[in-house]
Amino acid sequence: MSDLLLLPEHRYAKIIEQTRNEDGSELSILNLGPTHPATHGIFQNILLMDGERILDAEPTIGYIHRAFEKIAENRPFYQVNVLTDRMNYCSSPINNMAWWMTVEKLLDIEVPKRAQYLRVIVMELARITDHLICNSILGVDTGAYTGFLYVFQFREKIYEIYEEICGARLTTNMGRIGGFEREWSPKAFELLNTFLEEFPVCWKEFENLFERNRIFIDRTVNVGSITAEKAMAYGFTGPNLRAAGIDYDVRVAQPYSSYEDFDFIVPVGKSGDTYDRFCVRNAEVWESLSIIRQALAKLPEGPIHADVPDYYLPPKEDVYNIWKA
Amino acid sequence: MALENAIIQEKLTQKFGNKVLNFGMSKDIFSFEATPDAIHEVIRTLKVDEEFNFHFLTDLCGIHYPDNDENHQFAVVYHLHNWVENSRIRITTFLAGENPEVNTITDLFLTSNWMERETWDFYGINFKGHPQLKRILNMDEMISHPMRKEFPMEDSGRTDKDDRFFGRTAQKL
Repeated sequence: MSDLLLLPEHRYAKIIEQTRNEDGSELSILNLGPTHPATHGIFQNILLMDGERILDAEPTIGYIHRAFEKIAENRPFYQVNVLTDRMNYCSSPINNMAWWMTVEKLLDIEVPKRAQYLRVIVMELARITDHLICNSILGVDTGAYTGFLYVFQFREKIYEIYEEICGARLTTNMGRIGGFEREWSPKAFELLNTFLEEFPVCWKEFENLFERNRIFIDRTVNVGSITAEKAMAYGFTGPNLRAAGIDYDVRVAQPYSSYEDFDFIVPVGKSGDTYDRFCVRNAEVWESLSIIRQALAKLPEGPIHADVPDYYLPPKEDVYNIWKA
Repeated sequence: MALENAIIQEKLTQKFGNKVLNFGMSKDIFSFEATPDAIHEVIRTLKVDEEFNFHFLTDLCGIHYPDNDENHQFAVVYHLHNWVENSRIRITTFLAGENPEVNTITDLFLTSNWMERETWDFYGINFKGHPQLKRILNMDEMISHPMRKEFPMEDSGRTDKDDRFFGRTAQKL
């Protein structure tokens, strides 16, 4: 790798040459990676170091760029969805739904209320899995492995629900243009109800393990904090932005898929550090659970997908029984 | 009071004359075009002006239109968002096919740094004044800009390649 040897014209080379500390020590370069800081998404950092302090970093982020845009150029709408699974496979149904909603907007398709509510349920489940991984892995990184293994069994439970809905677990490819491919089975609802009963107990315990834990607090408070202004300038969204203290949530600002029908609060942090991000995600899991309960309680009857015959096979019984030539 | 699209149009036309054009709603986002020489000033106005206050850059990306005329071969699209009024706006600027270049907006939005690098990487659009315009996702040694339409996806029915070298077939001797 040519990057390992710093080229003389590299901007760090100049900075090192020009900077001398008072005690005569020099700045140095450290190559970090290509590594996988979060198991996946390998990237490399060239770090400019003053002793143990990182002054500057030059990340190379493209190692696993997969050119989805280019692949999508040659595909029909419904074949692009499998690509969206792979963007963030911790919460692939959210990506699926985002893609369908984009296509539906393009084609001017009105999705029936029932499909919208089911989408909300599935998106909130995906949010829970994502936050669950995020927060429990943070525990692993700060030295607490148990919490991770403990809550991870519930990711499995959610995957069983996915499996019941669409047949797949991780890369779900869930839904179709205009709604869902089929009606959810009674077993899906059964699994969902069991999950809603069991998971809060576990999550409460997980929270108790961490939120007032001295070691965890020492390792996360004031670590990696970002101000609200900076977060905005860098284009943060989601829990990272809310942890910095801005109460912007697209589900509230521009409700899609009937989010306006549900009551939930937008948790915000204060200092934007790792601890605040952890707490915001924790709180969001509780909100997600409440949204799922509301959606289940208000779930309307009706068709599972919009009337777009271009993207659905007609029901089997109609095909065999109704002859209108 | 919501930010009226008509007011945006009126104020911008007053200030920039014929450098801003084609105002209209496009799939529920208010959109317009700006000429490349004015784009930086237009975006600065939209951000700094207290009435507009478009303080958030949602997206910046390139598009290649190979069928357009020579002066409209490339487009850079900016999506701005005002959270207070909750209104979005989309600005497009068309660039010439030969040496497409436009002023950077990294001095206005920090996040545009990487977005512009990506646009450079994939479309070869040069952002004048960018602090570090180099490839971001592709490797430095690459010489093409792959999202341009002259680079089609490889034909999946191609037969001139020996599949053994790509791990696609187990045995084909």
